[in-house]
Amino acid sequence: MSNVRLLSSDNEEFVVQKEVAERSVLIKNMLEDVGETDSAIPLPNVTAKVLKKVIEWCDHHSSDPVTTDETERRTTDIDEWDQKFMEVDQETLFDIILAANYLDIKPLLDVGCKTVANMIKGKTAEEIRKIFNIVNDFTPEEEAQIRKENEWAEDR
Amino acid sequence: MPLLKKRKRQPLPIIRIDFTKHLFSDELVLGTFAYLAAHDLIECGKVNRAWSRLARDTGLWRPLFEERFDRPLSTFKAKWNPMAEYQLPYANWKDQYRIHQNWLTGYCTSYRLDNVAALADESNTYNGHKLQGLLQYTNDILCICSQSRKQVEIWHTDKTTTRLIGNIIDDKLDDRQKITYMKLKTRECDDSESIGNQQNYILIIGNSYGGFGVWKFTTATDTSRTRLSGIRRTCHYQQNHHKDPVVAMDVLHPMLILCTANMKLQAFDIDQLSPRQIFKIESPVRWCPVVVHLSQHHLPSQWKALLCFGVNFGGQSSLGAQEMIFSTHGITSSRHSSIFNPISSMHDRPNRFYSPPTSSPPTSSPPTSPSTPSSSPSNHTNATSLSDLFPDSINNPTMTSMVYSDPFIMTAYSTNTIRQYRVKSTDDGFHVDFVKTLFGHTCQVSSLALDVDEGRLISGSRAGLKLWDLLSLDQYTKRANDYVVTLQPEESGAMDIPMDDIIWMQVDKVKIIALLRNGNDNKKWFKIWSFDP
Repeated sequence: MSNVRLLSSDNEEFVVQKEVAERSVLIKNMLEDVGETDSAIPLPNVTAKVLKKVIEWCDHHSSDPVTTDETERRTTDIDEWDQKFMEVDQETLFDIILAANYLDIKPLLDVGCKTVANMIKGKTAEEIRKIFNIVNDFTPEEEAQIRKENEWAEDR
Repeated sequence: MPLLKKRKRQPLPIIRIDFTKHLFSDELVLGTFAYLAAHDLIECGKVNRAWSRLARDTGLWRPLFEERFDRPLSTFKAKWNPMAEYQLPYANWKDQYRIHQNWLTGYCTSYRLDNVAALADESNTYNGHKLQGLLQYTNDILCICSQSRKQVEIWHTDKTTTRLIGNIIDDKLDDRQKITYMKLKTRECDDSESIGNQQNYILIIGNSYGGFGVWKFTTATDTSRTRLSGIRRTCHYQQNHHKDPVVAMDVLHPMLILCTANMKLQAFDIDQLSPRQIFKIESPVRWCPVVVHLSQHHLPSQWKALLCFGVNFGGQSSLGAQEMIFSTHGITSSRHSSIFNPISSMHDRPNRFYSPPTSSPPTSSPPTSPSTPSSSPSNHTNATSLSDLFPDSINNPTMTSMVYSDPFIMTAYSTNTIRQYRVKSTDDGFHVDFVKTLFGHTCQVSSLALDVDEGRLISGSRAGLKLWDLLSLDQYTKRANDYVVTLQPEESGAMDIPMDDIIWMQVDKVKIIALLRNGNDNKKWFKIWSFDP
């Protein structure tokens, strides 16, 4: 089994199995374009800290079948290992999502987005502001307008 | 891909970051929001400006709408009308979700509109064909036939006000002739002349001598004011010989059908200034009420005209439908079906002294029906004489209103009930079948509006409006009294006797507009309910 060398934005090198690295569609396509190569693949958008996490995820999921099932999309259920994996601070979580997006690792991106969605679910606007440290920048007029716009009967 | 924002390491154990700000692309935020339910998105919309813009994204709301409302509605339509093609026309899915939700829960605002002086008096209409055709409402535009019955006022209705924006004077009418029927529809513009905030309408006006005119106009809304433009007559037809008022019409460019009080049914090609008659058939029975409906047939260059007819006589009522497929050359097929005295009044009358019986299905008897428009290549059997069909013992309630929306005919009765019928048209046959009786009104049901596309039925009586959800009604096999909500026309105490009857009503996607008449002084006024508050 051949290995691939990946170079993080902060110049740390990671050696990973090719099939693990190829969970990333970006890397897979690069390898196909370049062919056999000994030089490290630079990933200027991913820090070593995040790349380490991403590789950990890819390694665990390296034998997962590639699913294209769209009906799965809307549930926010996350399997136990992934839940544990995502128990990180917000900065790391968002960096993982951005890295998954950049590296084109759809299942990891989905897990990341679901994790963020689960942080929002069932919360009020004020609670959401607190969770993500958001300043309410509505003018009183806008606030009234927004309230009106969203003033409707609750789901039955 | 936005660049990673450089952030300083913070000593705080918990870092809180607004990921929508400089971090995630819109696409990524929307990908995250896609996992949220409607009530979560509503909360997101209240967080701040950026979140509000993102949470409003129509791409988030379309799947929510489809899952919650459209999928069950499509299943319902496929069950009852497998031939129908159905497409969702909405542009703003969040509004659509909110408005639909509001309909289902009766969440709306309303206002009253008095002093519409020009309102035509319906008392001198013909053969009991009521004012259905003298008032027309669709998509914010209300057309009111004037007292003189020579002109039509065009009013614009929005959430809080209704304003006169123009009128049409039918100068082709001679001294004897009066307007007897109108139909207003929105119209797709055939070219690129239409820009945003513009809406095109077609208004067809029938007169007391069986003639008609076709008018087109456009409304444009800018900075909350709506103006009317381009009123023009594109077609005109005179039948001068004798009095025979138009009582029902429909239009689907380039075809128009009309039915007169003497039961002449005619189809015209209205592409030219002078319309060309395509067919004309007559019935010996004076049906009332009649409803005509025109649609595109699934075969190319063919249209389908549906005539729904009811009749009250001697305490009896009967209902039927005739379907005519035609091309520009004439009728290619015609079929009919009718139900006489669909269910006996015993089963229909609410009775508090014994447990309500289930209504039995009608003795479906299309072959032995009263006569229908004949002289057409129809496949019905010979009409039986009317007296054979009238067992004296049955006392059927009076039909007060009839509406059609593919594939249902709904009729209202003096016995506080509504009946649902289904028009089933397949290659193998054409039937009008009784579906069920709807209970829940406590007064005579005087007006109906039906929109099968949206799954809504609205019924009016002296005690107010009821909104029904066709989907939940469908879950009842025999009888149903599951209206969603009752809207009172006026604030009144619990024991007040309502005096204002809802005598006319039409709906569009967002609003109900009703004409009410005071039982004491006959004074009439409008009431508008908006589900987009």
